[in-house]
Amino acid sequence: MSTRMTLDQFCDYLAERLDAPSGSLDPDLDVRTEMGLDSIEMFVLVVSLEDLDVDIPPNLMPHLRTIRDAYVQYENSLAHRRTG
Amino acid sequence: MDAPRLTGRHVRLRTVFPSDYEYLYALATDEELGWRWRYRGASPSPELFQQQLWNGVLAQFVVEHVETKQRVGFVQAFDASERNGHVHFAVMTDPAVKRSGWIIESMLLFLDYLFTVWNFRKLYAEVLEFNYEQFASGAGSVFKVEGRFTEHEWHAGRYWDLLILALYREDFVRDWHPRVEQLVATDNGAGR
Repeated sequence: MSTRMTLDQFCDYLAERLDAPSGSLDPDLDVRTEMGLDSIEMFVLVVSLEDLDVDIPPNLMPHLRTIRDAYVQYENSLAHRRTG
Repeated sequence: MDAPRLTGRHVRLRTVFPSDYEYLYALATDEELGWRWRYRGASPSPELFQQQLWNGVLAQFVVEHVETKQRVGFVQAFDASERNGHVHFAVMTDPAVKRSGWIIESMLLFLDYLFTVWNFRKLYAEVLEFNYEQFASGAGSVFKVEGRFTEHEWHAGRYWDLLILALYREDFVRDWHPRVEQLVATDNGAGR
């Protein structure tokens, strides 16, 4: 996906991949402790990010607490690709 | 169905070699993992562990990272009943990578492998109540809770239920095999 998504679009993209209703994902809730994503859902989340060419190194995983954190990684990946 | 896939986006399932025994023994008796696994915190001798490692086993693999070759877990299918069309499976994650999501990828690869290579109707897993929450989102889609042994096992001051989870072939092939292809696809072999 080459066009930069807004945060809302990003949340909707993840909601679709997680089989959640559109607009239901709060970007500032802790995905594990407040949204309650389990291991399967966390895996789907990570793979969904990778499908956007967002690299999530293993050492970064514990710090990926909210969807907003993931969105920051997404924007960083886009910026990195633009600067080559 | 296509050929079974043992290599995913991040991890690969590979043969268990004798050189892996020490690693697997360390996993099975790990401070963080051992009490959740087969020995429930007990300390088998290395010799006994090696003997029991292959008892009743149909297939088992070490899970390793595709690029670094770091060992990150273990998957096992055991107590197969080909007459009745079912087998048990278990998955063990190295605590060092427990938040990586790789163990789910390895589990999906392994389940796909079991349904592809054998004509099993269903796969069983036993999960203690306090471990179940890690996979609860799969209830009804990936697996069904078919049994429950109430207050079956003792841990940390109380008895816990033991849940029997069942994965049916038709459900997995319909709902998860396509997702396995999607979820574990590499970039034309370039890997990630």
